[in-house]
Amino acid sequence: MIDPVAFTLALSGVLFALGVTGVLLRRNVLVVYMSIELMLNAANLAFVAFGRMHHSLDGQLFVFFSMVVAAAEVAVGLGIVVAVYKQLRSVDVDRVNLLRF
Amino acid sequence: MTAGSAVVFLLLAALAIGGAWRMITSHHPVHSALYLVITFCATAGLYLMLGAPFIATVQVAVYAGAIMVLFLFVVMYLNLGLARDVADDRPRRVTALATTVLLGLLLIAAGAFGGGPATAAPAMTTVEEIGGALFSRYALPFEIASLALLVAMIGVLVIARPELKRELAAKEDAAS
Repeated sequence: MIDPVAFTLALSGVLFALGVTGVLLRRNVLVVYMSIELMLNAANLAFVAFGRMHHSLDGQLFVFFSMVVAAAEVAVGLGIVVAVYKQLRSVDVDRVNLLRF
Repeated sequence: MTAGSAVVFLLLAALAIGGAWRMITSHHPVHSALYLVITFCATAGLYLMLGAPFIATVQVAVYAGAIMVLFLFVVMYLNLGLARDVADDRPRRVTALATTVLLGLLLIAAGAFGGGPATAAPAMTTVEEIGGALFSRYALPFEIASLALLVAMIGVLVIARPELKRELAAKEDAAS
């Protein structure tokens, strides 16, 4: 039968790679954010799998803190999206180049 | 692991990967968000099977609930459908796909070979255990996390409301 820990780690790798694809492939900044969320989720999955492997509670506590940071990140990120949209009337990441020289 | 739970495991994994794939390839951001909810719910099921019911609950409430509602809210507030969303230039696509395949293989190999032997009966962690650890060993990180949330909340208000900044500046001018 399959080993749940190794299987979960492999799934976490697949989800992380899909998140990277989303960031590289999409232009809509919101979908880019969703892909970042997907990568955070993959990391959380790996944390829980390792926590179970070592019979430790710490993996789940790290996931808890990572979720707190993810919530803060989403709030700030969407705030920036709204502010950028007010300036540029667009959410295309290729058009947001104000800091490029 | 029994055959039944292995089937559920595979089913949830397929749901998670399918949802993630459709999230990347859907052309409308609302569809992307809804497919991502599927992925998050499947992940919550996996947490449950790995013996983490508290994390599974928080995953559904915070990720699939609050965060995705925030996403949908912004998508609908700004009316964001891009005509030319998925990158269509060849070099970018090739780079993205090559990176994905290489990184995916690397991570899968690391997971499959790095994972230890399957442990015995999965001990379900209870909410009491997690709460006890949060308020004893992890008390300081817990407080810092709440501070981070507060700072993020204030920061968002300042970023997203330029009129607030103007009001504050006007008040300062009036005071000086």
